[in-house]
Amino acid sequence: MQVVVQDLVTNCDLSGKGKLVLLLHGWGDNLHGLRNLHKTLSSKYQVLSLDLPGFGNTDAPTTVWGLDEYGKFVAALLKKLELKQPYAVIGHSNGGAIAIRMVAQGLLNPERIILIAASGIRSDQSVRRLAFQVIAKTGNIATAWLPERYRGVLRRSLYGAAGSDLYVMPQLQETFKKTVRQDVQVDAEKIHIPTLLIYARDDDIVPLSYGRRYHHLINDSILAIIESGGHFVHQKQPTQVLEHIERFLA
Amino acid sequence: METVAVIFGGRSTEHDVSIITAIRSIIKPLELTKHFRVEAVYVSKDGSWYWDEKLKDITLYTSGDITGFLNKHHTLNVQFDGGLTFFKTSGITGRKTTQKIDIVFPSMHGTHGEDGALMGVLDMANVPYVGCGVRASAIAMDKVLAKQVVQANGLPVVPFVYFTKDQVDTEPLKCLKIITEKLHYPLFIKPAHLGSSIGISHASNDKELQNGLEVAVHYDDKVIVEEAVHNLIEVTLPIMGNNEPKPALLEQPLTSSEDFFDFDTKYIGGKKGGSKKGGVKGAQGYSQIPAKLPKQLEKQAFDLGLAVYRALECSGIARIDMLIDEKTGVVYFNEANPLPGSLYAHNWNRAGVSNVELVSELIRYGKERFAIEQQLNTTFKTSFLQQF
Amino acid sequence: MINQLLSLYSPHYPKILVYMLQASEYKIGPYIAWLHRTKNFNTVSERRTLNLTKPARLLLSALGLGILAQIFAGLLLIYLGIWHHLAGGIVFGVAVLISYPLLWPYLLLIPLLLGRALVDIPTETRAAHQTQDALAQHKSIKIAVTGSYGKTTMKELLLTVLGEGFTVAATPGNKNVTKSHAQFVKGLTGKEDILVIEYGEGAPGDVARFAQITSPTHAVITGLAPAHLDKYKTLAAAGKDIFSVADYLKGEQVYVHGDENVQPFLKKSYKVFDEHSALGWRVSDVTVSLGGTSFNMTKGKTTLKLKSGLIGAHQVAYLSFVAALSRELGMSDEDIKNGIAKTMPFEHRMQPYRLHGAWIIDDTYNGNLEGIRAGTRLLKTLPARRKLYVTPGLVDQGEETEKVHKIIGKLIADAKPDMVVLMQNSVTKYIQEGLKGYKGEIVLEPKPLDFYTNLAQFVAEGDLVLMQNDWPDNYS
Repeated sequence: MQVVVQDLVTNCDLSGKGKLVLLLHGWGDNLHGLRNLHKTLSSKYQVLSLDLPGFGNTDAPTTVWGLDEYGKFVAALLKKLELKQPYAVIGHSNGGAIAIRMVAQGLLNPERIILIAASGIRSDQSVRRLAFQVIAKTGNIATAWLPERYRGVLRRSLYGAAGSDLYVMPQLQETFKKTVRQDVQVDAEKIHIPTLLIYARDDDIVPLSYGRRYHHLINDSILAIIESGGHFVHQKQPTQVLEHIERFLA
Repeated sequence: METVAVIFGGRSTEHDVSIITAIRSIIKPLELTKHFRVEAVYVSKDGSWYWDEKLKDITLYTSGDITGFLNKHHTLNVQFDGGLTFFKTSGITGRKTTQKIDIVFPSMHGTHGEDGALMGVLDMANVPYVGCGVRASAIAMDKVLAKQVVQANGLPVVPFVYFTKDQVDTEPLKCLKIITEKLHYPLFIKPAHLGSSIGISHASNDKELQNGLEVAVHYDDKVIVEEAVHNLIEVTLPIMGNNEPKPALLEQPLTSSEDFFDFDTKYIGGKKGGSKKGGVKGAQGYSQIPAKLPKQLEKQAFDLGLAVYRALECSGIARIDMLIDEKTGVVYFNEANPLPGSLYAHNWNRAGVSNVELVSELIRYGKERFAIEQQLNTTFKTSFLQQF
Repeated sequence: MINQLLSLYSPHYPKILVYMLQASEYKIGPYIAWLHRTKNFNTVSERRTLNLTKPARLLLSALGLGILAQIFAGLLLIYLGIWHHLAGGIVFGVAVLISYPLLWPYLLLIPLLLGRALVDIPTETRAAHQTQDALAQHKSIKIAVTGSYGKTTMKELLLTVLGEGFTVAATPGNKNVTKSHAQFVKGLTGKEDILVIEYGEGAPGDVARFAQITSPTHAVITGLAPAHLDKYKTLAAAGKDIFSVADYLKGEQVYVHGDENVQPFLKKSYKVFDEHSALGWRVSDVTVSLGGTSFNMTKGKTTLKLKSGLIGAHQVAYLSFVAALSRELGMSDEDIKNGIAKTMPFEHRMQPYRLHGAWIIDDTYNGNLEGIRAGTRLLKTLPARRKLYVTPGLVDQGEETEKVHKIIGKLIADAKPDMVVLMQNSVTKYIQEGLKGYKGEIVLEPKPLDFYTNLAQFVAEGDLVLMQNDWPDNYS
């Protein structure tokens, strides 16, 4: 389904009946990344997933956005679709950071929060790692010396298949840099809603230590550790992840 | 040997599809006929025209090298010399190369190409070209105009209403009122001029209708709202020819749970039209050729397709999309495509026309129409100038 | 002109020379002839390239070293001429330097001949002795298969059909030289009931020699045609060689496909078969489709209804013979029926496949007039919306070239295809002469590869395309 929100044509998927569950995907991903959660949960709940601006089939933002702009956008979408506050929000990776920020700012007032491999903690080490990711993903600095044709190839191989929009849309590069530098630890402390944290032990993009940190910051939280599954643990270990989610939501 | 200029790319959303149509389905078979010299003309997304032998290589576009290539090359120069002649200066010496064009094969989909804009330029240049003329192209590419013309010819179309972007923006409630008074849910809302499935929404209630209208005017300055057909069988019929149009086979696109084709199914891998039972994967995902229809419906669809082709004054080639209500047995005209993606060669192949034959025939029809037009008396002797 | 000259100095030149030698099957005469015919060496291996086998690699390194040595010698002479005032050093040096492409095509033959004398001939002799001993002791029925055409088909049919009732082994692929016979013998268990051995004829005396080595009990002569005449010179010489296997068997258990050319060689004791009869069986009711060929065989009150996957009425002569021979050797009717049903088209031999809704009959390995006769006859009988016939013509026709290709032209015209595609070469004009009066479209294709790789662009539903013969580079 397409709707116009903040003058951006937005692609979203609303299905199922019952209490509303909102799904927020991570950076470089789109609503297909959470498809298995959407499908399973929509048998018991009304589920809304969307392509965040700049990803999938939703228009890209025309200015540089941070977590706040994404948060406001999601709130505007809910309003547009005439939906009430969701019962639960599920955020993966950067989608988790958006969820934390939205709840802290009062843009979202769910009864349950589920954060899967949520990012949003910016230590020295993480900034260094993310700096590398920025370079890898935008590819500008590292490959500036290469002829155009090789740069393209290199950037594609570094960035993988996650989404080619990044290096064709300069404004999105800035949006990325702005977004990943934002720390939401202060926001997490403000959350007093039951929260489920799901992290994989072998996640090398957003490490388990972030999960422990959020567990410490959010007083009503449960930390579920999945032994293996990497950053996309909900795709690699769908049964385990869904089991945790369904029990938590019930 | 005659020289054919194939013009592709362009400033439309279907830029990429147009490249594939040109290189795979037009240039390659034209060269294989050995009867034509083929000149490739690529119109970039910003509207610059380029003419170069290397533009025939698909990898130039798939690798992304095209950007670098365009930076290094000059744009096309043309002489309107009672016909069409290309020229370019190259190298340090500034050597001038010219090439007289005998016939043009437009390979543009969507706006500024398939909609008659390019054909207008070619008419002005007095050069023969393949496919529909200005009028047919312009009418076919406007979903509202096409339906009005077809309706005026006494042929069945689904009930519809239309609005300008301005109407939707300023008086959305009035639009809603008009729609709900005249039409019954479920409805389809479409931008009037866009190809593919971009900006199309399906609505079962007022809220969805309102959202759909907003999305459609985001893409186009005119929107059409029409009733959805119940017990729907979608079919499409490629047709070629001038005065005696010749149909290919009725083709039924196979879609899954999705209510209509989205861009991905149509052009990227057809992964959603995944049903393989007896279907073939063509330019438009999976489809059934020939469509499995009762004899009576099949005949009706053929007749309607050909009647629409004539009513819209199509020439050369076009593809007519139709909607069938299986229960009532009514076949409705849906829309016309003056230049079907990849020429719908997969369907023509099944109808016994090879790719090489297809492009040869289309060139022949292009020349035939041009010859007929040349015979018409277009100049009149007047003494108008003498009075000054 | 410049390109031709430059092609001599191309870095690929040595590779092309070795390729030409390899493509001429290391035969010196054809290689030299090809060498003299070639103007631009860069265009030689357009369709195929050098297959880096062990001999090819050895030759290539010998050639490379030789050329390097000559270049070095030339440079040394020039150096001496410039710095040490060696009289004529520069001139000779340059001459030595630039002459390498002229010398080495011939000098290349030295390592070839050396290799042949020191390695090939002794190995071959040893191999022949081993084969001879092993086969003399083998108690099985040994069927020799020879002829100017159809040998591989006959061998495969015997293997498939007889295999239903017996343990059968046959010489592999279409390799048919002493070496592969030796290899074949090594792989035998000793428990085989029947051995099928294909004889490749190349030069006068070959067949007689093979008969000595393999001691056959039966011989099948598949037919005689003007093929491989480069070596035999005349059809009579070829026939004499082929029929020497009959002399070895003293005329007993010799089966001959009775085509027009074998007639002068026939003796009373030989059993002749053709598409109408085989070993006393009468053949009738032949029907051909793209799914296969069916026919009936009758002898006295017995009738066998058979269906093969092979395509074409011309296959019936071989099929009915194989069926009749199988029965004579004691196989049951049921086994014969199953065996014949299992016969399928071989790769590139009347092999049908679908493309864009069209039927393509791939007969590109066929290389003789009989095959063309059969093919064009099939094309004529099969129904199709549009028929295409594709061929470059035939190789190896010697003095008969012009005559044979005019016949080919007539056969094609008689089949009435809608389009004839001729791969352009030296015989094209003769085919065109034969095509006089043909009403359809004739397309001359200078780049065969272009046509074959783009075949899908030319065909559509209801088309029938018959492709016959592949035209190797060395005859272009």
